[in-house]
Amino acid sequence: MPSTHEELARQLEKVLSPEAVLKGAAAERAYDCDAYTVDRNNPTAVVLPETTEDVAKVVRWCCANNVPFTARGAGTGLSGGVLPAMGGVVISSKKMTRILDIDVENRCLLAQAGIANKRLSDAVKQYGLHFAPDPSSQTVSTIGGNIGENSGGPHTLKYGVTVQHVLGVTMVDPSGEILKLGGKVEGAPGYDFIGLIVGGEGTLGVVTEAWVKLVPIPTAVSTALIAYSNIGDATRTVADIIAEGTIPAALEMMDRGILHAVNLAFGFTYPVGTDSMLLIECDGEPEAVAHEMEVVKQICTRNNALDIRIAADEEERTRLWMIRKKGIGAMGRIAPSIVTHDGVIPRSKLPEMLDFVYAVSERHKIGVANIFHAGDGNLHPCFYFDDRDPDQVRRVVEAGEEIIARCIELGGSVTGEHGIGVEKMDLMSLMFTPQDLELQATAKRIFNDAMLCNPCKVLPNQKSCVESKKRWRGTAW
Amino acid sequence: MVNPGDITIEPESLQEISEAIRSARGPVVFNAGPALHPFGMPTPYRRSWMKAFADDMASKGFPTPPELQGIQLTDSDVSELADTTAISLDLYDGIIEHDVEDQVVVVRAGTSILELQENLATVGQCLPLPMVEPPSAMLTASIFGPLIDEIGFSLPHPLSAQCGSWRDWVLGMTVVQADGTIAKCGSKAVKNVAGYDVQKLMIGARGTLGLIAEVILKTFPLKALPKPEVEYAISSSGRPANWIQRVKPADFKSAVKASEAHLTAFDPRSSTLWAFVPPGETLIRFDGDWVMRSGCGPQNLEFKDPTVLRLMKRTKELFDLKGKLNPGEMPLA
Repeated sequence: MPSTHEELARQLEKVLSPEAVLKGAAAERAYDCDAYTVDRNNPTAVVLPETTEDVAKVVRWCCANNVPFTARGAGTGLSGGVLPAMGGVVISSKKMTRILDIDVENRCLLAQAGIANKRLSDAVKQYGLHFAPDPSSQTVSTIGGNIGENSGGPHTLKYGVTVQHVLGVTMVDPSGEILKLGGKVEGAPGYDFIGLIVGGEGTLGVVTEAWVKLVPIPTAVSTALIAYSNIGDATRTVADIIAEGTIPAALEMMDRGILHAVNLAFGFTYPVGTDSMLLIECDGEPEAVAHEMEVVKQICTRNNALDIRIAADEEERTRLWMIRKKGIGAMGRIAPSIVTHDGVIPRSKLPEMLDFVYAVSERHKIGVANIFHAGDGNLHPCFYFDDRDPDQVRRVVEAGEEIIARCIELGGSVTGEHGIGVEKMDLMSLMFTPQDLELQATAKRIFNDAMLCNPCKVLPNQKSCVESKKRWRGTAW
Repeated sequence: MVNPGDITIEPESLQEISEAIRSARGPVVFNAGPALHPFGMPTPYRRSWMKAFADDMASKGFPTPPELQGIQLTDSDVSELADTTAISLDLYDGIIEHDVEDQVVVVRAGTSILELQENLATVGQCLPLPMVEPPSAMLTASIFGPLIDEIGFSLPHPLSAQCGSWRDWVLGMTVVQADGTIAKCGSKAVKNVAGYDVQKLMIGARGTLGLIAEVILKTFPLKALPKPEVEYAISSSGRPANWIQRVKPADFKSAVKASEAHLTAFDPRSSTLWAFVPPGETLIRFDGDWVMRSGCGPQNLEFKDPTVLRLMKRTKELFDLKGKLNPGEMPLA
């Protein structure tokens, strides 16, 4: 490893070009974490490649010089997946934002990893097509990042997560070799490497390009916001809708904490006595949508809905979505800091789990609001607190751990869409036995058998990570 | 001469499966028993069953079908068979847990699709595989085999485009590895990104990376099952499909037209064709397509991309260094 930061940056400038290397304190600070800001570590340098070949050159240089490297998209990740845990080079996809090929006939497109998710849909809107996965961060988060995290979003209940929409990838493997995997035709025989790479949290190589699937934009959309006086009625509605075989495009739930925040922040009003709300969206052919919404309405009424508002036009639809999309942001009005968890439970356990979340919040005297993808049992309990008070921080951490542990007891998962990253590494052992984790480590070794490519992520207790972890764990506190 | 039936064992618990694999000194075959998956490779074990079957038919005075004619076992086949342990999961079957409201079922992998579908149907649920109707037989001979084989082979089916495939329905699984270690991956959560998705590697791996012993599956409400758009044809031979081909949507019409005389079925939604193609012959191939065959020896499955082949070999070495599990079932040479 080159002896100084300056020396390393100078060598990288030779590998790429002086303009393609960011260095110095400001760059190091800007790339020391993602949207999970609790753990931080400075990179030694940041590179901005423009092509797959550029990335391969950097990775090969890193290998030759024993320098760790971490690929990074927009940095909107919520689990520290792009934290440069052992320092080294951050490979930013900021300049890799081109669409390389649009194949309308075969309903797919090839794009560089750094393009924002939303731009994929924008590029093919004229053909009546779109890219279905829609994480809330979609205006900035990149397709490369979405692939790393196997991102979800409100519409994944019906359309699936990222892995269902990636047909092929170009990846620079951890040794610097360029691999092209998958293609335009799905379901090919052989080992499913795409299935492993998507969701590999950037630890299996640096994805530089991807062929993604495009699907028709639904011709009709109907959105309803339904108010309930108790959360049990709302969760029963969710279960009944799924059991009916109706799969809405979105099935989201907000509790009183969120409603209160959105009311304070945006003046959003709701019927007196409302304790929770569901946002339900049906899409598809006009006739099918009308029928589906009718079924949904009946189920809501049967479960004692206080009020059912169906958007009359696009403007109202946007307004109804505001409460869901800006819910977490609105929390910022209530407290200086928020921590959002991402546990998953079997849907039927929602009422029980919510009671538990409220009890934990009360016991630790930390405020909580819940916003979540009810259709898949993916909770996002959001604790609000003041991170300048170490005691509050401690209580928030403890409350979070209790909630995640309960998710696992109920047969769920520690993360539904945000990833393990560094944040939840230690929780993996709650969900998996040492044998289970060793099986995953074996799968990782197919691509990554060294400690250079995005080290110290996903799997707990990796050798040589224990020491480095002491440097970055909780550095923001 | 080794009778393939004599080397088959039927474990009844995870521990027994683990012990059988751990203690096996030679190859372990677990696409086992006479009802071998029709799209498998011509391993010595498979050919021994086919030969036994042909001999049995001949002894009863029946004519031998063309694909069973002239099967000879070499000396090395015979010695490999003598060392082989064949594991059938016929006795490791049944539903372990069915969370009806959550639409999640945990099931032992020896359970047949038919048995699982019948059980799920009692509460109005199913796997989105088409129910029994005569033309289904034109797609493959065994869509009702045990889960271990169906997930292991992961063939296209008539609702692939509308409802996805095993990689979308399998939420988790318990795997017995080459050294006998029992490990699980995934969970009962319908949405989960905790750790590496090892179950996706196991799906379609034909048992070459580990034995799938139990699976956690997402179920679908029966009443919401869409109608397949598969069209059935009667091929000139009138025989079930031994050729499955998927092409790019843009090539689908040309592919159907080019192969018309041989087609048994075709699905415009997933651009998939099923056909009966006489061994030794081939249909027109299209750029980027893939093909799986049955009954034509090493041509059943071929990998041409050197990158893919190299990665597959590395994967096999990592999961099964000694090449113990289902040798020959994934052509990596």
